[in-house]
Amino acid sequence: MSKDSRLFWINKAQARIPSLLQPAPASLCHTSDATRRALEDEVEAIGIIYSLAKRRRNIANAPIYALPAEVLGHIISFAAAAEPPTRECRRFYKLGWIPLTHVCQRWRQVALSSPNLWANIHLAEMHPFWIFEMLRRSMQTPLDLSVDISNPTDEGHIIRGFLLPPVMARVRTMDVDQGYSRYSRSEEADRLYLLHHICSLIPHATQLRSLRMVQDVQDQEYLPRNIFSSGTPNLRTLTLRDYALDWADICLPNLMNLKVDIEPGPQVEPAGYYPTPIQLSDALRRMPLLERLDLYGLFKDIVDDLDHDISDPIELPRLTMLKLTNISSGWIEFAGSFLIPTRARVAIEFCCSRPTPSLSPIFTKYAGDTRRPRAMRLDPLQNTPYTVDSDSSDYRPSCRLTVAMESDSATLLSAPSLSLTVDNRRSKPVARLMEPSSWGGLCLSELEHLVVGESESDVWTKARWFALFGRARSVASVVTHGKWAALSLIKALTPDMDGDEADVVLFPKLLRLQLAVVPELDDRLPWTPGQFTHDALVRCAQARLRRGVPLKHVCIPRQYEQEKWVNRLRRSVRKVGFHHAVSWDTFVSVI
Amino acid sequence: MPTIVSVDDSTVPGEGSSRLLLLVSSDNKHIVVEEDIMSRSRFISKQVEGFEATSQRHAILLPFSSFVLNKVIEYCSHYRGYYLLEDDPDAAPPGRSPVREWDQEFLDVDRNMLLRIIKAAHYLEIKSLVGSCARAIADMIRGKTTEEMREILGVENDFTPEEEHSPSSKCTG
Repeated sequence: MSKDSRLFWINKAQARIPSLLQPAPASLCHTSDATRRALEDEVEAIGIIYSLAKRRRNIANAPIYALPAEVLGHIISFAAAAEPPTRECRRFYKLGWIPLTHVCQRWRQVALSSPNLWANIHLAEMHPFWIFEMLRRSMQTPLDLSVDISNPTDEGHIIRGFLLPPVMARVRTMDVDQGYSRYSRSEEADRLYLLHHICSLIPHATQLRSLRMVQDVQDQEYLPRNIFSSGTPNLRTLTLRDYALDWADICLPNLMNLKVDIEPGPQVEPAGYYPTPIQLSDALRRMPLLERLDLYGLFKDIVDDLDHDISDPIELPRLTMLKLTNISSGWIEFAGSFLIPTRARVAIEFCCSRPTPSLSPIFTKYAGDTRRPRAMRLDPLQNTPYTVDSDSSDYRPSCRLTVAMESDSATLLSAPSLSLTVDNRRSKPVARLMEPSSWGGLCLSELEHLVVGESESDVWTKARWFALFGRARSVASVVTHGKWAALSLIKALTPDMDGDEADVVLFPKLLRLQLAVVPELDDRLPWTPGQFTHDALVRCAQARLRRGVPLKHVCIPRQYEQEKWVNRLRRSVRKVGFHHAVSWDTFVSVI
Repeated sequence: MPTIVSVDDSTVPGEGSSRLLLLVSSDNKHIVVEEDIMSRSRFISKQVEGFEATSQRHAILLPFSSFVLNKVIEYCSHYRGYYLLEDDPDAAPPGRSPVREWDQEFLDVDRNMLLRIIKAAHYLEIKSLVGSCARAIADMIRGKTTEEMREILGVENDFTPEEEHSPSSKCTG
């Protein structure tokens, strides 16, 4: 501290507080109230000066203080997204990112002048004081609300207190979540009351663009009939899981993304909630802007209704993605009446409840015309009970097939049935899938992206890779989710130790290989040789480099990032011409 | 606005087939870089458009050191030809996607350097780099108490007593 500044401030302060430098008295009992008040005023004023001086010092010393407000806003918004306020237990709330606004005056100023930061509100996760403050600080910015109704008795009154028509009129996106829990009768009544309160307010949400309602309770919940019959003119995205809709009543003219689980509950559902083909087609006709349609649970057989129900094709002029999961053959035929735009990219996913002798019925459909699958996903379902054999009446699906294709045909699909059956434990269906002849006339010459899911050891072998994909010469990217597929693919891509490269020209255009599981880093595979993947990948990269078809990217999951193995691989692959390893997070599903 | 000085053609080699730019840092280091590499910077792109309008090539003076400038060039070279969502003015702002692995390694520098890079990226209008740096700083202070944040960021508590005792500062749970 310089002597000058010390003297200056002492002189100044002595002018205001005359006895400043005198020895402290034993007690202040002789000081009058007026003096005491005057001292407090002085201390307060000095405190302000002190803070202002520190502010000035921050400007001079702290580089972060000098960042433009826009950049500070970025930092704060990333922090806000990464650490939202949460509720730890009944009476303890964590403020998440909010303490960041108490760091210094400038940060606070930036935060308070960005209403967007305060517009993301988690009802039931925040102290009512903060809900109120955030509503106030967000000014008139559209709100992104999250509501958890799992605890209706404790939090219902808070949610109801804040969810009022004026607030709903500002809501832009809304997530209503309900985790699994068992409710007593009174709690169940509270829960239903709360749910109906929320539903009754949805017509007030005139700015609502996205609504997601998800629940994990056992039975389906039936939403009130009039919930989407009027209002919500701006709704673009609607996602419902285990909430049933009245299809006869739905009117959402601007909807672009629809994802609904329409699997019927265990009880007989009220009329209209499990749609007939004509109700569904009418509802879809009232959504002319639909771009993505994802319906789950159309498994009731409707073959008898089809002939007289659907007279005109259903025009979906903007559709880019159609996903029908757990669908019966009657509904597949129904999907055949969709009219989709020429050259639209469409992904179709089917999960069938019954096995069929082969895949030919669907693939022959594509073989003759100009449509070619450009991406394919083979994905055995997890947690599916395995069955005795394919002739058994309780055969369950255990594999899902997704094909994405360029379509230039008006009619999407009219195949009578489709299934891809892979039983992970029994050889018969596996062999059937893996026989190239069962793929009908499917032409894989333009396949670019291939995703292979988890499966048991005998599904993927080096020979099968060659048999199935030997002619798929356009494949540029392969993603393997299972360890067995990864192991066999690496083997298929890698020359033998003696350098024989005769049969390793699989995927000559392969640029990117993504392994969701690195075999030797998987604890469940204790017997895997420790160096296998590393050595094989390096050999593979060397061989491909020699052939002039280098791999550009190898992607691995983020959780392996700190492993020594990965660093070694990174060093090795750099030497053999990998551009750089891309992390798991940069992966974007092609489907 | 940057200062622009005229340069003769001999200063900027290869004009024509492969277009090069001359960048001059605040410590007066001259760095020649391919225009294509720096096309991620909207600031540089605007400058280049200006050159085309006047049909004169210039060196671009930048208000940060060559060390920082080289880091920015390293970033731009790495993502040369890549489409990054954050740089697309028409794309929706990216949500909570994690930091790219390469970016994480690239930004594994001390706090002051990180702040210099973010300032330079902001100046050069490279939105993806600003975003990555901002996310790296946000990750540094994630889960920390206010005091710890101050220590990490190197700032002092400069609230006046009145501001410090406002209800919103006190209500922590």
